[in-house]
Amino acid sequence: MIASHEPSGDPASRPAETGPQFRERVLIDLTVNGQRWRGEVPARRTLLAFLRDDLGLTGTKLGCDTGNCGACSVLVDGELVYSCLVLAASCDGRRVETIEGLSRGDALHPIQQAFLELDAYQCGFCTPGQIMAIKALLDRNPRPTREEAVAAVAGNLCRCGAYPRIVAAALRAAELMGGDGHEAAAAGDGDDGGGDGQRGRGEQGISTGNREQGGGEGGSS
Amino acid sequence: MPRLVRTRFEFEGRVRESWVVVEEDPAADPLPDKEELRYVGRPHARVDGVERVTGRACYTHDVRLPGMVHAVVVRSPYPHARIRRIRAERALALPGVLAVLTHENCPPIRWGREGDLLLEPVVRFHGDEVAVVAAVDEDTARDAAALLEIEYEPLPFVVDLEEAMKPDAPQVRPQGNVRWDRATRYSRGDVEAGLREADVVVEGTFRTPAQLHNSMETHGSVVDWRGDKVTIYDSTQHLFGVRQRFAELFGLPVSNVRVIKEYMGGGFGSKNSLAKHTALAGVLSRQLGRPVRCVLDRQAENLAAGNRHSTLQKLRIGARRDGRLTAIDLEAYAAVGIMGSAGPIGGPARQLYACANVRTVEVPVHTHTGPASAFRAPGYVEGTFALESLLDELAARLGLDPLELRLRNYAEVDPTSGRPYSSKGLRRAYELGARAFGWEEKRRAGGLTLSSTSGAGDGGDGAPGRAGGGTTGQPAGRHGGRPKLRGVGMASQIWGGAGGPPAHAEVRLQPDGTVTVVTATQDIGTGTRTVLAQIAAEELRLPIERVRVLLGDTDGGPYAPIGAGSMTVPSMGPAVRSAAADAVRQILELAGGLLEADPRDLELVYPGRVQVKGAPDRGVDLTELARTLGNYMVIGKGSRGPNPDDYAIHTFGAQFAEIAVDPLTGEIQVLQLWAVHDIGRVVNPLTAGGQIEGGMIQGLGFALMEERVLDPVSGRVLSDNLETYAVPTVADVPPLHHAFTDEPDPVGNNLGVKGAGEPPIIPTAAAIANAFFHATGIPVRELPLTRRRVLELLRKHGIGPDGRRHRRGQAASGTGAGNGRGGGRP
Repeated sequence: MIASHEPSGDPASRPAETGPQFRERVLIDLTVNGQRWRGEVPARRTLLAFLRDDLGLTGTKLGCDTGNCGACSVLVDGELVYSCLVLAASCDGRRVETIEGLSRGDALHPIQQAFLELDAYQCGFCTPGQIMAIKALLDRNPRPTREEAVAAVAGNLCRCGAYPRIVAAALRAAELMGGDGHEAAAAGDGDDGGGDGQRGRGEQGISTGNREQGGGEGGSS
Repeated sequence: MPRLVRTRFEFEGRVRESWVVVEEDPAADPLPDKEELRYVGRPHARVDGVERVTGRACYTHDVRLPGMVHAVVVRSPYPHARIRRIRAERALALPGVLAVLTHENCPPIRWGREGDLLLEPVVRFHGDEVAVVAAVDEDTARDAAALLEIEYEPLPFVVDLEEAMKPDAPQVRPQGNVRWDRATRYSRGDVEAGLREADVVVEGTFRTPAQLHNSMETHGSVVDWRGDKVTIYDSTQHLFGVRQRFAELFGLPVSNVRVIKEYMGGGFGSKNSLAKHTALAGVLSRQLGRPVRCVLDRQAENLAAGNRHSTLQKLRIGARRDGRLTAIDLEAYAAVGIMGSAGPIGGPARQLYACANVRTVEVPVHTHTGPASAFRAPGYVEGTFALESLLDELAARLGLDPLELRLRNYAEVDPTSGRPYSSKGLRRAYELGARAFGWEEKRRAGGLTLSSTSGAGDGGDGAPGRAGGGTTGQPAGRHGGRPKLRGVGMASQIWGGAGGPPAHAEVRLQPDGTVTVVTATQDIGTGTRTVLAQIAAEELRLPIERVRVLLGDTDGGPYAPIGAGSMTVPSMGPAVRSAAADAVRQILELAGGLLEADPRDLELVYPGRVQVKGAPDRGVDLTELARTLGNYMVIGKGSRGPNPDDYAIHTFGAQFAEIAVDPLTGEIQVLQLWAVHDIGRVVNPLTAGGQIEGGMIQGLGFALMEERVLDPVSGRVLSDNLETYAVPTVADVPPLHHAFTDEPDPVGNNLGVKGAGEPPIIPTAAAIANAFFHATGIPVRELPLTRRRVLELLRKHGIGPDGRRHRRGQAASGTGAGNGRGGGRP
C-alpha cells in the first residue's frame, strides 16, 4: 500500500481539522545556548523534538517521551525541565540551555570534567540529562551535600547503574568549581597530547575522584 | 600462516564446537609484571569520554540522513487475535504518508526459527506487530497509525507461565506450550541414589519474574537501501550478526550489507541479534528507495523488544550431615513468550559445586507474551537465586555457616568435565569478601535481633535519606526508632567469560606516527574502546593519546564477535595485543634498515622509540620512522587464538548483602553490598568497577522491584513504561563496595583476561534473598521482594508489624522457615 500522492510539504501546515480557533503553528522567539532562534513551530511539538529535529541538537536524548526517565533534561530559564513534557510553543521568550551549550570549544565544563574523571557513565545515553540536572543544582547551590546531590539526579534514570559515580561527580564538580572554577577544570582537561605529563595529570584526577567516592560513600575499592 | 582448527566455544552457558581460523600469535610472551605496565591494569578515563559528556556522541537515535523516512509500528492491543481487516485508506490519505505495510502486502519473509512471517494475520502478544506506517516525519507517521482501522477477532490466550503449562491451556503454537522437544537435559552420576544417600534433603519451588531490559536507548534502526547495497545503522550488540541475518532474509550477499553503530545506549542482551523492526524498515526502504528510520518507543521496547524470561524452578538438594552435597536435581520452566529458548537456568547447579550427582532440565514454555531474549547472564541470575537460596536453607538445617557450607563443596575441578580450571579465584573472593564485609560478626549480630536500624529511610521512594550516597551506620533520623529485622546473606557466582575466536584486529602505524586500532567490534557502553586503546598503547610502548580506536562498522574493520557473553575484552583484547605485536615486529624490521642494525637487536621503548638494546642513543622515534616510510602504512594483524582444550575457563565471584526489613511497611532496605570478583587480569579498574557496580544495581532491581506485570484478564502488560516498571533510581542504591582478585589467567589468552559484564549481576539477588532469610527466618521462594510480597510473607509466617513472631507460621515450608533463623545457630 504505497500512497499515491506526493507529500505536500510539511504536513503540520495542512488545514486544522479541529477548527479555526486553534493554531496549528506558533511563532516563537527564544534563545538556545545563547543563540536566538525565531520561527514557527507546530503547536504540538515538544521542546525535545524541537531541539533534536528542528535544531539538530541531538545531545538531548529521548528515553521515554513521557516524563519518566530524565534523559531529555534541559534548563529553561535556569529551571530543570523534562523537555519531552514541555511544548516548544511555551518557550517563547525563554532561555534554553542544553548539553551542547556547556562546553566552550575544547574546554569542558567542570561537571563534564568530573564525569570524565570518575567514569560517571557507561553507555552515556542518560549522561547529558544527568549533567543538566547537576548543573541546575550547582547553579543554585554550589556546595551541595551528598543528599542534595542525590535528590538532584533522583529524576534521572541510568540503566547501566552509574549512580554512585554520578553522585560523586556532582560533588567533584562542586569542588572543581569552588576553586578557580571553570578555568581550573579546563586546564586540567589538557587534551593537547602532552605525553607522559598529560597522562599523569589525568590519573591524578582519577585517583582523587575515587578517594572522594571511596571516602564519601564507600565506593569502589 | 592462518590455520583452520576445531575449537570448543562456550557462550552464555552453552558449549559448542566450531571451525575457526587462527594465526600464529606474535604476542606469545606473557605481559610483563604489573608494576612495569603503564596502561594495562591502571585506571584510565574513557578515550571517548569527551563525546559522551558533550552530547556529541552519535547514537543510532541521532542518525539523520537526507530524505529519511520515519516508520511507526502499529501493535496489537490484544494478547491473541485474528486480524479480520485493516483499512488503510484514511491513513494513506494523510499528506506525508508514504506507505502502510501489513500482513497483506508485506513480502513473505520468514522470521525466527518457528517459521513465522514478518507480519502475520494472527497476532500473539500484546505489542505484536500488526502494521508499519511510513511518513515524511514521525508526527505524521503517528497520526496515520492512529487512522488505521483494524478489526480484531480476539482469541483465547494464556500469559502466565504456570497457566500455560496446564493441559487445557490455550495453545500458543501447534507444538504445544511446553516445548519438551526443545528442552535441554543434563545429567551426571545418579541423582536418585544421591538423594537416597543424603542425610538431609531440602527442596523448594522458586519463581522469578520477567525482567525488562529498559536500555535507555530503545531499539532503533535506520536502513538505507540503495540499489543492491544496504547500509544499516542499528543499535545492536552484534554488527556482524545483523549483517548476516539481514542478508539471509533479503537474499543479499553479506558484503552488500554494511552495519554501523558507533555509540549505543545500552543493550543488556536485548540487542543481540537482528530485530524485527529492522527487517520491516528494510522492506520499506527497498520499496520507497529512501532511508527508513524505525525507532521503538518505550512502550514497544517493553512489549516487544525482549525480556528475561520468568521461571518456575523445582529444586532438590541432598547432603550428608557434614554438608557434602550428594545430589542436585533441578527442573526448570521458562516462559519464553511466543518465541525464544530457555536460558541455561541449570548452569549454576551443574557447575558451581563439587557434587557427583546432578540432573537439570530446562524447558521453554510458550505464553502469549513478547519473545524472550538474553538478559545479562541469562539463566544464571535465575538459577543462582534458586540454588544459592536453597543452599542457605540447607546450611540452616545442618547448623552450618552458609559460607562454610560452600567451602565444603568447593569445586577444585570443573565438575561437568573433570578438567582443571584455568584459574579460580572463588576461594579468594570468599575470603576477601567475608573479611571486608565483616561476615562472621554480622552473621552473629544479625538474624532475629530487633534493632533500630540505622540508615533507614521513611519508606518514601526517593527520600534523600536512603540514597545512594548514604554512609552505612548513619541513621536517617526521622524514623530511626522503628524496629527492623536485620540480616546478612551471601551468594556465589560462576559464569563463562572466556571469550574466544574468531576475533580479529588490525593495528596501523599512520604516517604521522600515531596508531589506529581497527576492528569491527562494538562498544556497547562498557568501555571497550578505552580498554583496546590501553592494550595497544601498552604493546606499542606509545602514549595512549597517540592511539585511536576505530570500531562499529562492518565495512570498517575485520570481524569481531558479539558484544555479549562477557566476551568482548577476552576476545578482542588478545586480538588487539597480537595485532600490536605484529606491528611492532614490522616496525623493528623497518627500523633495522634505518638504523643499520639487526632487528633482533632492537627494542621498542616508551614513548614510542626504537633503539638498539644496550645503546639507547642509537635509535629513532616512531614519528620520525613513520615519516621516513612515506605513505607506507605498517599494518599489524592479530587474531584471538583458540582456548586451551585441557582447561575449563570461568569467572567467579562472591557477593555479600546486608539488609534491614521493616516489618510494618514491608520495605527492604539494602544497607550495603560487597562484591569480589575474579575476572582474571583487570585491564581498566575504573571501567571494570563500573561494570561491577552496574551489575549489582541491576541485580538489586531484580531482587526488590523489577517485574513485568501481566493482567490475567486482558492479557496485557501493565508495566510497559518507566512509571509502572520500576528500575532502580539513584535513591535505591546502597553503598556498593567491590574488589577484584586481579590475578591474570595463566592459560586462557595472551592477556590473562576474562569477562566482566555479566558476573556482577548473577549473585546479587540471591545474596539479598539470603539476607532476608537470615533476618526473618523466612526462606524466599519468589522474586521480586516487593513490599506487598514481603508483608504477605511476614504475616503468613506470623511476624507482626512490630517484628515479633506472634505465632508459629502457618506456611512453614518444612525446609527451614522458623528454624532457619540465625542460620548456624539452630
